[in-house]
Amino acid sequence: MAEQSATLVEALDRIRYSLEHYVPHDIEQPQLTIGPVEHVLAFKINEHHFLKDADTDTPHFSNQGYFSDLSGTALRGSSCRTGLKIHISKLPETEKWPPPQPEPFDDGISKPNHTDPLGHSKQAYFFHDGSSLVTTGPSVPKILKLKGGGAQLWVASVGVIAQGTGKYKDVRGLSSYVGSAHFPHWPAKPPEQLQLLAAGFPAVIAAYFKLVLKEDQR
Amino acid sequence: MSNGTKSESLIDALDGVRDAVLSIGGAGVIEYPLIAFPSEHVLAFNNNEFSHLRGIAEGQPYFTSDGEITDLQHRLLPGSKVQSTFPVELSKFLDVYQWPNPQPEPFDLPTNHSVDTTNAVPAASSKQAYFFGDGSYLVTVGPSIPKIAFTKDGGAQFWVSSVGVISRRSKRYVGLHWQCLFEGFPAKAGPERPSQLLAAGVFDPGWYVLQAGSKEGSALANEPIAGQTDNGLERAVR
Repeated sequence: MAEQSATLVEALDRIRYSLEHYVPHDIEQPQLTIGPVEHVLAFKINEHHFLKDADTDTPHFSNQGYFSDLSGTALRGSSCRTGLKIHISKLPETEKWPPPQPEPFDDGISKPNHTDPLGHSKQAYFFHDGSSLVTTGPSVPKILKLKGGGAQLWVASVGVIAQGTGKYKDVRGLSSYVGSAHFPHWPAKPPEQLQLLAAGFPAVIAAYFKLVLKEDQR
Repeated sequence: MSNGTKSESLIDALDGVRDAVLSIGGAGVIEYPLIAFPSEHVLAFNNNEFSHLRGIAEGQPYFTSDGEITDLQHRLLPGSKVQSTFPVELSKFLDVYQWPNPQPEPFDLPTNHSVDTTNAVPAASSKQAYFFGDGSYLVTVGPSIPKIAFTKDGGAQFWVSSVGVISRRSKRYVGLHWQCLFEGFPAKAGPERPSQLLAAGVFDPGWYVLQAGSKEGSALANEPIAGQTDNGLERAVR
């Protein structure tokens, strides 16, 4: 025990504090499933990213990391590998934003300007029990300049499960990958921006899966 | 003690524990600061929606969905509302049953400088509007991929995953929103007439995560929504 309470009241107050700040240390989210056979997974990924081939017209992000639960507690034995190729000519699009969407919001009509995927990515997630999931799908990166001279980079991807191993062998389902990185200083010119990305940087990602196991499929 | 709670009596302390048990994880909490960067806000929540497939007779079908927002423990956020829509191209509908090819290793490098995109391309762009109990709201737009898997009980599981870029927001939120939407329903009927089934309406809880830049210090905080443009966003954050 880290620290002994001096009184019973203090001990109870500490229990209360722990309960109020409790986050389940599990990636399964059964309270958010629908139907009898769906599984929902949610977890955070700590990754290190490199922009490789930064001196070419088609550089790619090469990323490696490990998982945490949504409270930030690392999940031992986990790892991931992800990759995204982009074309240098599309970089200006990362700073453009979609127009306001007209109401009503449920009428089937949207104005998707500046939301086109700038690349297609693949993601591989390896779990501590030896199971794995691999997805592929379109990715949309965006960069927001911050008032201190820095920048926030986001990449969001839709993932369609392509393969799996262990308990995830032959599963079907979709995922979403939402990652971000913060740069305290963001250079003004693209060559210097690419140089910064090529040097490598940490990223934090949230990944969400909804899937059906092989045994529940027909 | 590291927290600010100091009960006056044993009864007070026990009541506090009781209240905490009733709200494990924090009822209605959708902010996740432990997985955010310093200048970033991470929001994650669930939606309970009811969806209909409309426009079939007109030859321009689309999903229309309305519902409410819950936290990740599935507790309702009072006063919340969500509306979303997703057009359907009938010529591509059968793609929902097709799945990608296995991806080759290594997974952190493009293979032959490309990624196999078979059966993993967006079907359409969707838009989503999230209204929170305090009057704040966010509207997003972006590409979506729908898929359907058949289940052993004769039904099917339906998912839609989307990337959303924030296009409109109330004064509380400025920045970017990445959002994922999943819809699912355990259909009792087979997939032979999916449009008929979907037109009848389906209930779908979706899972969403948002990562947005902070608006603190923003000059945009009091600007009307109608005046918010791309340039306005940059002005606000700079």
